[in-house]
Amino acid sequence: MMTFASIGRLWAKIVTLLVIGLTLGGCWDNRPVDYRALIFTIGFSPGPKPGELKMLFQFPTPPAMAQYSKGSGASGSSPVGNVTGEGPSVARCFNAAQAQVSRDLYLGQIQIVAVSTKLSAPLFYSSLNSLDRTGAFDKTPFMFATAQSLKKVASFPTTQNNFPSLYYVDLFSCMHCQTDSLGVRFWQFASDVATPGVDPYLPQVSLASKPNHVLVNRVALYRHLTYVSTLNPQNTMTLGILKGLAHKVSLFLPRQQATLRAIHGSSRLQVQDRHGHISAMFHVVLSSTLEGIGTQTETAAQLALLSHEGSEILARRCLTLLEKTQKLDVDPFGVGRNLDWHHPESFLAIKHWHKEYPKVHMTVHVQLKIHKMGDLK
Amino acid sequence: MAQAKQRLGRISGLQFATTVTAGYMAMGVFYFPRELVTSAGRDGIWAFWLEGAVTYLLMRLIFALNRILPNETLGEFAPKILSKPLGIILGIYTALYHLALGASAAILFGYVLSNIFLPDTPVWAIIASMVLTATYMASLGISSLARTLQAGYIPMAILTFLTLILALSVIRHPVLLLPPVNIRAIPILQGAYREYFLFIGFEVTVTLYPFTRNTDRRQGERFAYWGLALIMISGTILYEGIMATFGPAFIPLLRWPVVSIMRVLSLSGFFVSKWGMLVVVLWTIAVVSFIAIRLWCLAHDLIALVQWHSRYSYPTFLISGALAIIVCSVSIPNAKVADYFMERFLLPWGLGYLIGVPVVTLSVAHFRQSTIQKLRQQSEPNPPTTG
Repeated sequence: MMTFASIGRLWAKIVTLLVIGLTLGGCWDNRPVDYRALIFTIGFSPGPKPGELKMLFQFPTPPAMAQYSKGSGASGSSPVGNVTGEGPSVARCFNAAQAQVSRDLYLGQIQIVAVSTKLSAPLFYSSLNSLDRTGAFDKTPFMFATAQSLKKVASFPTTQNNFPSLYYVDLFSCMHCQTDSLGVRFWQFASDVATPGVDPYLPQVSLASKPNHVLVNRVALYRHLTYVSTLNPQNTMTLGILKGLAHKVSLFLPRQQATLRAIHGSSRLQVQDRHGHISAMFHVVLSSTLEGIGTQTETAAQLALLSHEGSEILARRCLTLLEKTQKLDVDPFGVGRNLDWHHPESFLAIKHWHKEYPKVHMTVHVQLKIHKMGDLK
Repeated sequence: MAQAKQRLGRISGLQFATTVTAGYMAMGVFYFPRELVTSAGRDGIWAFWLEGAVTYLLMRLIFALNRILPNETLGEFAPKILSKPLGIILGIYTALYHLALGASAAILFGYVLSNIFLPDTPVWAIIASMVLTATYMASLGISSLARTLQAGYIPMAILTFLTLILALSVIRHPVLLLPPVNIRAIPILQGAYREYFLFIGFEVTVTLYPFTRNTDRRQGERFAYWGLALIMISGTILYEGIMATFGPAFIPLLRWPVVSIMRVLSLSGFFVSKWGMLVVVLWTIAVVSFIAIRLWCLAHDLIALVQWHSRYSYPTFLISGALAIIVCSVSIPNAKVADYFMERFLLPWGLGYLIGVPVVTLSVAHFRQSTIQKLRQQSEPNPPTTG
């Protein structure tokens, strides 16, 4: 038999559970997905007025999303919608863009952050800071730079993916799909920006007009957040080798009419301070596959010669690139960071790392091995 | 005395250790290792290990305090040893301490949830739901609470540990895994102090000890040390993962570095790709457990303070404590103010409690051995062996 007290206790439990249930449901945040425009790509470029920002918000259109969820792929009209907003801050740009869209622009699904190389450092900094403070934004989207129109680059249709943003996500997240693994996530970029002694870089995307395709084979170098220069494809491959990011680099050796492909491997940076003279040494160990040789078949002596010559050529290229970055006064390899982590007193004694970097004595040791030779003897 | 007897044989040694271990970390883990790295840079790992060593020593001290009168809570025996006024002050201090810790944990995780998952939900609703859940957990008594912790906290801790191993996959700078050798004492001490709210909370033992079975108490102490060892191992992996992923310059800029690394983790191909985020959500268990333990302690300490022993006293103080935590929590306008209060008040007062209370009580007890023996015989005819 239930007493008055036990009935009271029972009610207390029921009420508590009901209140917990109601508050745990997250009812305040319940937004049906139909009411949301999920931003896949966000872009930053300078606005028409000085000191102003122009932002691109790209989201998949509802018909394209419906077709995508059925697995039939997007077709017909453009699978994505683009809205732009201009203003002195990210929030103002967002307001301007939201005014053009009937649904809630949602920033929790951003997959690509595109940045114009023309964006000034202060605007870039404030944009990064604002994005960083956006709770729904999880710092994992990939970033790329472009010198062309953000809208064109971000919306360029490819036959390989339903949505342009997915093309870039697939490309950057598959490390072995690229010649060099150039993908840079937002948090990695932000971390490099915050760390003294290293300059960030971003893969640069460009559109080729004939034939119509996307090119992602170059790298945009930044000095802190100021765009400095773009490396050509060969230098980008060399950068990949020096940073241990190379996967499918190839090399043609004209003397033997030989081609080495799938050059990949690791790189180790050692920085030393000898009485105020800083020296950096890159130890690069690479493996490759012999794709072809003028004599059709190869001997052990030929392989040794190819390895030696390939190592020399790559080492020369690496040194040339390092000298180029020293001339540009940009340290994408983190020589200063390495010095800071290993010899903090030496790094602290340097007032401006960018003035010191061009004076660093660079050495590169490349050891290229040919492991695979295909089916031919 | 009668109450003390009734309470005997409640929880096992493992349950004691689980409750003690769940009584810390939940509050400070979100900041970890920001304060260590901000003060000590790469030396932060030494500061963390120093904190672990200090905690071990303080745990020994607290357990020694518990053994003075093992069948009574500190709130019950402090007035008899230290004098009534001092005992009352200590009781009020302890109650406020639990209240502040519970409120801090609720605010902190409330803002984490609000910032990341529920931006449109008012923080008060998130806090209220957590505190209500904690109240429900605590309302069923220490045995049920301890069993709930075993069923919820331990699996969550194991899952977190496994996830930490996954975190090693996002490491960018393996060189940072090596502990730095250029040790600087002052920054390490500063870092250890500023991050110490990681460990504040294990003093729940002063209330929990009499609720542990007589025969299991020493085993419970040993398990609590093992719990600390596991926390230190997990913390070291977490520290190393965060340090080698974000680097020492970026960590001080992150509001909640642990949440940041969890957000970066993903399992591509798995049906929950944002695995780290799932783990962050599961930490609700840790935070709610922490608040539940605080509420349970708070209610018992208030009972000892006002000497109101009735069937209504526990639920009354429990609900009052929960309401006080909700009111205190919602009065804090944002996470920055919460940081300020924690650093300015909670940390020095908490650390002062952990060092001051056992040192003072043990010192007085040392000179009042005959009173202690008398009290022991009053509270328990066959007291457990001391040592």
